[in-house]
Amino acid sequence: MERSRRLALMALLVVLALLVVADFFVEDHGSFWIDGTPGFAAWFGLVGAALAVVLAQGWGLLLRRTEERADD
Amino acid sequence: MTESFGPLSPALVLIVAGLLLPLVRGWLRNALFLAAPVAALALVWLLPLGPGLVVDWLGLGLVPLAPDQLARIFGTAFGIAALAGALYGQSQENVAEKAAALIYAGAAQGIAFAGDLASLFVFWEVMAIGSTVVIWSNGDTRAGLRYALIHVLGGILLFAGIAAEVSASGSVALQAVRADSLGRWLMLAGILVNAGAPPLSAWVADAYPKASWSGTVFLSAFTTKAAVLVLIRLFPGEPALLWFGLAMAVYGMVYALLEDDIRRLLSYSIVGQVGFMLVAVGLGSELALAAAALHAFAHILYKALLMMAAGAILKATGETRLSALGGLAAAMPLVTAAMLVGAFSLAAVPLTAGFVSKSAIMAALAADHAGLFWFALTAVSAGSFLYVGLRLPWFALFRPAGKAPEPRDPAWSMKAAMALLCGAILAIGCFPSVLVPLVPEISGVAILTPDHVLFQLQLLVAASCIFVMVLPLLRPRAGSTLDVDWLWRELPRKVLPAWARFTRPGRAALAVLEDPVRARLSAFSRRFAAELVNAANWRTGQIAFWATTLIAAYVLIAAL
Repeated sequence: MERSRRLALMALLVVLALLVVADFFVEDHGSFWIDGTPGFAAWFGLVGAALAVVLAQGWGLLLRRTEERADD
Repeated sequence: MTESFGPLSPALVLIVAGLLLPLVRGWLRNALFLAAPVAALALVWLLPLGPGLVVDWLGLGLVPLAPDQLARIFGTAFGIAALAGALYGQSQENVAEKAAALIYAGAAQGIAFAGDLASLFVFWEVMAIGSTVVIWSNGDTRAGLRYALIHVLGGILLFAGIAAEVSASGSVALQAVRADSLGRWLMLAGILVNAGAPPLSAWVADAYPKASWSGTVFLSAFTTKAAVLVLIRLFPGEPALLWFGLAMAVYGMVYALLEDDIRRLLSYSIVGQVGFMLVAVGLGSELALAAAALHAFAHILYKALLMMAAGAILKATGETRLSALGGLAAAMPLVTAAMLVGAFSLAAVPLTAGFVSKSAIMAALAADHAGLFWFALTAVSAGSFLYVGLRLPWFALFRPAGKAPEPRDPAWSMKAAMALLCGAILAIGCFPSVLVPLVPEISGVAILTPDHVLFQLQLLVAASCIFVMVLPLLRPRAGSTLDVDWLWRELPRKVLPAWARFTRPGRAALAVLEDPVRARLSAFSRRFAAELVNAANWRTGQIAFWATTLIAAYVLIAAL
């Protein structure tokens, strides 16, 4: 990983950590219990976004082609 | 005015203006192009809410203009989109596109205000024609034809469904139903075709990017959202919509994450966002239906803005592929700002309109304890931020590019239209209460509360972490992703040559038989033609005999 990307990632992780800390100080109104626990959106966002990338990459491996559609 | 002349339909104003547009020239044409949407938007608000006038036509009680709250919400959104689109497209020279765009916008208003199934169907078809001409006017006839065929299919399904419904219930009234009979399933299928639901989602990303830089703005606003409106009216709480919606949300996200062309990426994301609306319609509670309407409203604004930014990039550089773009931010600051506001609104960043409408949908899901859909759509929201809030701006605007493009400023009218929509999106985002008179159901939804804002910020920053981590994987690559439309776009090309080879021996054998048969047929038709020429000399008795036979056959068929 090049230097600028590593720095950006570190900065984002620090911001995320600060947001999670802040989450302990507000009153959460969860609808399904777990979504009201502090930091839920942080780990769920990481997992959700990672799953989205995995799903798209898998789909791309199966159905992405390098050429344009013949009739486009 | 409406009192003295009777109610004037916003649909009629736009359609008549569209028909007149090619007849006027110069500044008058541009003035009419802009004035008609302004008048339509004013009428949306001037028309008093009520049941509407019943017009008796062939025994059907038609209500072509029935202003209710839902009509006003969608009428306002369609009106703003038409107004902003007309302002944006002022410098467009193609009069066919401009005229068709007005008729298209008028048909969308007609659907919003239609109070019966027959009027609804008429405007539905006018909308299909208007949108097809918008695509066609940019020169891609094959894509236009594919688009038209899909909508002919949708129209036939809807017509068959409406015919079955009218014959079963005896009335053309618009009423909420469940898909519990063949006729109603046909009706639902016809509407879902227009909504971009699977298996026929591919037409959206096939057709919309083929329109001109200004035409796509109109296309992004009307067809799919009019379908959402009709679903709210006819199929609220239909359980099948939950699953159609979820499938569309995932499909839109996956295809948008893989896509290279900006306008095709945005088209896939239309399908994804309409998926959110369909889930809400499928839920069916009062809050959920209001949330679906509100999300359609917000989506019309931010997707039109995104398409405007994409159109401005296309006009300035002649390019919309992410793999060929980059580093535009310095050269096109206003377009960059517009794209960011639109993208952040789609990704429901706090202080944008998308945050308000998505919060309402999530609140409706939570109130109904629809846990599966709540968690799935929250994950899709994180994925949506990846493709629209990070991947699109990074690769098109911010990443260092090899050669910086020429800074070409968009026309004043394009900038004004983008500024107008940016302002509307941010105003709604900062002051969600302005929407309460329009959608009173959302007054109880927590939007800008600390825990809710914090929740969304964590989700978005987490998605950003993943983006930076896997950046090389998300690099745009030229190419295409296979879809269901492979069945009619490519399969015939592969099958027909093979079929021709396979049937060659058979055709050779048939050719031997063909000549004598053809000779006899032509002799027969010559004789028949000669007899017809002499028909004046037929005997009266002979004519009476054949006429009686024909009538008897007709009566027999009718009796059966």
